[in-house]
Amino acid sequence: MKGSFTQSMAWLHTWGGLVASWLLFAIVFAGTLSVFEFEITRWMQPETHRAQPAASREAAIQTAERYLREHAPAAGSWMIGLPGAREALLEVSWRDGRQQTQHLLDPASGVQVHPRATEGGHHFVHFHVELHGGRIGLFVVAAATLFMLAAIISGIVIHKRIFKDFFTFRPGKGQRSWLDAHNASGVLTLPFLLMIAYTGVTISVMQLVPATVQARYADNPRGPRADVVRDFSRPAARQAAPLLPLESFIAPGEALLGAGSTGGLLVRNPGDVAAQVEVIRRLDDRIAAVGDRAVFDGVSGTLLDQQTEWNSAAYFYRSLVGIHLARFGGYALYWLYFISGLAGSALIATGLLLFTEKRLKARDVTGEGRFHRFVARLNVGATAGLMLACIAYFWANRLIPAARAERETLEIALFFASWAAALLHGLLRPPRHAWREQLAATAALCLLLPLLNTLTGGLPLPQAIAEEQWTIAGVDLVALAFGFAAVCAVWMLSRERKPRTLRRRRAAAEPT
Amino acid sequence: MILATFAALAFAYVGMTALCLAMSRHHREWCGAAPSPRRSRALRIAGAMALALSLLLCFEQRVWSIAIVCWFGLLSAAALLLVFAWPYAMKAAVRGALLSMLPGGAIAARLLFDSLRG
Repeated sequence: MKGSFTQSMAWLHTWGGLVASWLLFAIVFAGTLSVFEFEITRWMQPETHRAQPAASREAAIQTAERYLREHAPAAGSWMIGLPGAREALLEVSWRDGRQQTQHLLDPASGVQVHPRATEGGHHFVHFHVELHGGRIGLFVVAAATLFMLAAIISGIVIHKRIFKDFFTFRPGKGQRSWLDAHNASGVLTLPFLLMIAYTGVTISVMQLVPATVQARYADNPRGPRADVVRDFSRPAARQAAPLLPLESFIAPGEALLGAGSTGGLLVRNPGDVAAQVEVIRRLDDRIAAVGDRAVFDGVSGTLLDQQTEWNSAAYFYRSLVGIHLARFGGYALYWLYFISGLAGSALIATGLLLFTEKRLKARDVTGEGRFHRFVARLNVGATAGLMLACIAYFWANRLIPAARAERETLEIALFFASWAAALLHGLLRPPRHAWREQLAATAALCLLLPLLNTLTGGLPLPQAIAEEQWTIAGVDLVALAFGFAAVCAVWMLSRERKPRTLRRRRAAAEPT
Repeated sequence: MILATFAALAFAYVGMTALCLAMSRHHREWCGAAPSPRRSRALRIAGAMALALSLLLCFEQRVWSIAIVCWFGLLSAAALLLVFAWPYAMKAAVRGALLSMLPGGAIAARLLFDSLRG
């Protein structure tokens, strides 16, 4: 690490980028899929595909209340999650002592739906946050993200032509084209990349640096939350009293929280004199992920208390959480996050390719051939192989029988098994072949996904489009788009000329 | 809101295309000659105005914080589209920008008219 500032930044960018990128690609790509967590979960539970929407919000609340009165008349609390733009089902849950039960209902009929056990889209979230590796995984992801931040900053320093080459992409020129693509995907999404990497680390600060919490709250990790989110609960009086119809709390609740803003209802001590009904505001129309609430007396209907003001430090922290999670702004914003995430994935993948493109040409000179060939081989499984594992996870979801015990664990095991197999395949096969074979496999699995969906009980794509069920059709359509992109990549790879060294070696071996 | 978002995307794309053409290298790629300094400046001003209009359209039925996040996302998406389409279909990329001004402009004019009246 000698020489000028720029040179040391170039060193940092190259080597810091390399060691973290194999993991970072997986983290960023899984994070990109996590934007559509709910849609993926819905797709992965075909039992829910034919659920019909309720006639109105009031009707949905009545349905839920009827169900709870019948199934949990003595529960300590009820919770109702209303269907929204992304959640098609009506969610009811109740708590008896310490035991929590959750059922999903068809909003129109009120009949319980029994979806298969699956982590669904949450698998990608879980992998993105901690690689399914608990606290250690969280630290590994945070370390990789710090490398990402360092790579972004050093990348800005060493890219001297940010504005001159702002719109530059020159395809068909080997290494030059990869560098252009790397620069464009980085520069054009720079605000997003900085924001997502920075918030990615900071929102986990309480787990990463537990001292921040311990300094003030000793050994109570729930302390910060208890300080910010006010507790409205009161004990049951053990004296029966009729509960007002739950839909009657919507109008007074929304007078305080905003029209059409109810996301769910929490009922404490139903059927008791001390019953309370809490109207909970939905989170998806502002960046800060905080839930405003208004709580009413369940018997008389009078307003007891509300929380619409927040501690400003907590509000700022929840804004960082919200802007990272992208649960706001509707489908326009989800798609923009998705596209930016794909550009970020492309940035990392092209960075990895550049490392080997640059060095394999000069390998005879430097004599570091073995290491660079290893990098070139690892790149295949780390990028194409990860994408293959992601689509394999969708197949595992439908091919493992719906009633099989512990199927959700098996699905995730198959995701990791596919990735491991792809990494091994990439290390064993010559990279040119490995790229083509893994991309071809990805293309096949993606393009056949709508067919698999139809054959295993999902809502067929044409019907989903006709019925405007975009949460379901969207997954099939995105899979098709990825499939076509992979086909294009395979086609471009097979059109490419053989590397010159190979031809030379072959020419030398041939008798003249 | 969805129409306004499409119009915002259209003007983000128009703005990026104008800024791209204001650079002599890309202008030369497009029509064979570098732009005159006056033309270059005009394209730059037009581009900046289109991007500003795009931001304005993002505010339609959005709180300001979400509108700004949305605008940054649209800028990225529009620029990515332009940059990766440019070497393959330059003429179509510019024509697309010109054509998208029609529906985009119509939506913007309609929103302006509505907000002035109401």
